[in-house]
This record gives sequence, C-alpha cells and structure tokens, in this order.
Amino acid sequence: MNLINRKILITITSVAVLSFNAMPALAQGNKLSDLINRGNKEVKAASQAADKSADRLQKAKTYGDRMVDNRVAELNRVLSRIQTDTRLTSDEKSSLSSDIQNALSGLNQLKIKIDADTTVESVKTDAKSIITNYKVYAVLVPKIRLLITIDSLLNLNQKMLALIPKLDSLVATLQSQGKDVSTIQPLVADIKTRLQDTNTRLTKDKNTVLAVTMTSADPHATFVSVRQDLASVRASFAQVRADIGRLRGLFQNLLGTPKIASPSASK
Amino acid sequence: MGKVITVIVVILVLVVVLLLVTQKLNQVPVLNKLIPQTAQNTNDIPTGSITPQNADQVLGQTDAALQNDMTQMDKDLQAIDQSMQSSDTPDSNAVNNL
Repeated sequence: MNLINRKILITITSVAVLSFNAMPALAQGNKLSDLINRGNKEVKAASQAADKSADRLQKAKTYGDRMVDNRVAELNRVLSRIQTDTRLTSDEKSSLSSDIQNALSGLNQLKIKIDADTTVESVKTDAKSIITNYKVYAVLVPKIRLLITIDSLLNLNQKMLALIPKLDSLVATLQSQGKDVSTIQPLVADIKTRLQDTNTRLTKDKNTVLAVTMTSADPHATFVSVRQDLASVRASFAQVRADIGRLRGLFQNLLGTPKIASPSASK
Repeated sequence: MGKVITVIVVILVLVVVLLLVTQKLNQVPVLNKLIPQTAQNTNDIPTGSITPQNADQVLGQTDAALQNDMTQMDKDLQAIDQSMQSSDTPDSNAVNNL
C-alpha cells in the first residue's frame, strides 16, 4: 500500500514538475496564437479597408465622369441650336460656339484626369474644378442661350425695320393719289416705334449679358432681368403682328385686293 | 410663218418650265430676280420694294416669317427657363460628400 502510495505520489509530483516546467512554453504558444489571430484580423481589416477605399475611389470617379457627361451633353445641345439657326451670322455663330468649344475641350481633359486619379481627394479636387472653372449650369449655358436669342431677334428686328421706309413710301404714294391713309399711318408708326424700342432694348440686353463672367457676383439675377425683358420683346412682336394683320385688311380695302385670312397674331 | 411661231411658242414654254423647275429646286432664284418684291427665302422677311400690287403679299410673308421667328423664340425662352432652373449646387454638395 505504501509502495502504491509512493508511486502515486511520485507520479503526481512528476506531472506537477513537468507541468510547471512546461507552463512558459504553453504561455508562449498562446501568445503566438494570439499574435497570429491578431495579425490575421489586421490583415483582414486592412484588406476590407483597401476594398472599401477602392470602391469609394471608383464611386467618386463614376460621379465625376457623370458630371462631365451631363455638362458635355448640355453644351452639345446648345452648339446644335447655334449651328441650325437661320438668323445668326457666321461671325455670331463662330463667336458663340467658341466659348462652348473651349468648355468642351477643358471638360474632356478633366474627365481623362479624373479617370487616372489614384485617390478620392484628387477626384474631389477635379470634380470641384468642373463646377468652379466652367460653371456650365450657373453661367455658361444660360448666357449663351440668351445671346443666341438676342442676336437672332436683333437680326430679325433689323430686317423688320428695313421695311418701314418702304411702307412709308407706299403710304406717301397712296396719299398722293388722294387715298385716305389716316388709319394706316398710325399703324405703321406704331410698328416703327415698337421695332426701334425693341432694338434699343435688345442691344442693351446683349451688352448686359456679355458683361457676365465666371466671377460675376450674381449672374442669375442678371439673367432673370434680361429674361423679363425678352418677355416684353415677345409681347411687342406679337403687337407688331397684330398691326400687320390690320394693315393688310386696310390695304385690301384701299387697293381692292382680294381678302386673305390673316394668321392670328395672338400666337 | 406658222412653223416659226410654233417654234417660238415651244421655246417660250420650255423657258417658263425651266424657270419654274429651277425656282422649285431653289437652285437659282431666277424668279426672285425677275420679281424683286419676293424675298429669296419664303420664310424670311421680304427685302424688295413694296408696291400697291405686292403690298398684301409682302405683309403676308412678313407676318409668316415673324410667326416662325416667334415660334423659335418660344422654344428658346423655354430652353432659357430650363437652363436657369439648373444649378451646379447639387453636384457641389455631392462632391463634398464623396
């Protein structure tokens, strides 16, 4: 019994001693495992962060590209309007197109740069310059569209004004023939006054719009003001059409020409 | 004598047909030169003199041209209104949040 107890005691003591000696090694093993686990977690986190960063960069690039594409499409629409206009002179078309061509060129260069950017911050800087350097929506497009309309109307107005001396001459001829032109003269005078006023107004508006630059304090307020003026010009042209319709009727009565239904001037 | 008259009539008819065809194709505005009161472009304001004979025609053409221009003006004003409603601000805000 004593022998058995001694063996058990020796065994327990040996296991205890061995265990005690093995503790540091076991502890080392745990530390290593922790380190490996921590390392794996860090690598995984870094990988996820890299994926997230690459995704963010791609999203930023996509947004920047879309900003450019939208502006290029809008500028091309304006360019097409200029090219198909029937009133603008070739010099006016060239002048109006040049600002758009410059913007298109700059925006396309920016798109190339954005696509090559390697950080989100670079993309953000380039995307901001799409807005600050070109101001396509805030300045360029409304400015050019207003100028197209004003130039076109000025050319129309000049052609209309050229008719006035001819109408005056006709009225004088009829008057010399003893015909009653008392109702015709005020209409011709009204057309003349309206066209002269329109010419002054459009010339002033053109200079106002031309003075708007990328650094103008409040271009929108200027555009709104000119736009209101154009509404008045339109109303004046409508009145000119009404006068022409009445003139036709009076001439038909005076000259005995067949009556032709005149188009509605209220359109 | 009869043959000569026939030939002259045929030549005149051919000339008139030729003039009408060229006018129709708008290749050479021959008739416009013969009739100065008619503008070269029927959609444009007449540029010739106004006489008692053509006054109604000139005014009618002027009115039609004016109507065309006002239709174009309406389209332009609509485009101007749209462009003035557009703004760089939404993009500016979005870029800051990229």
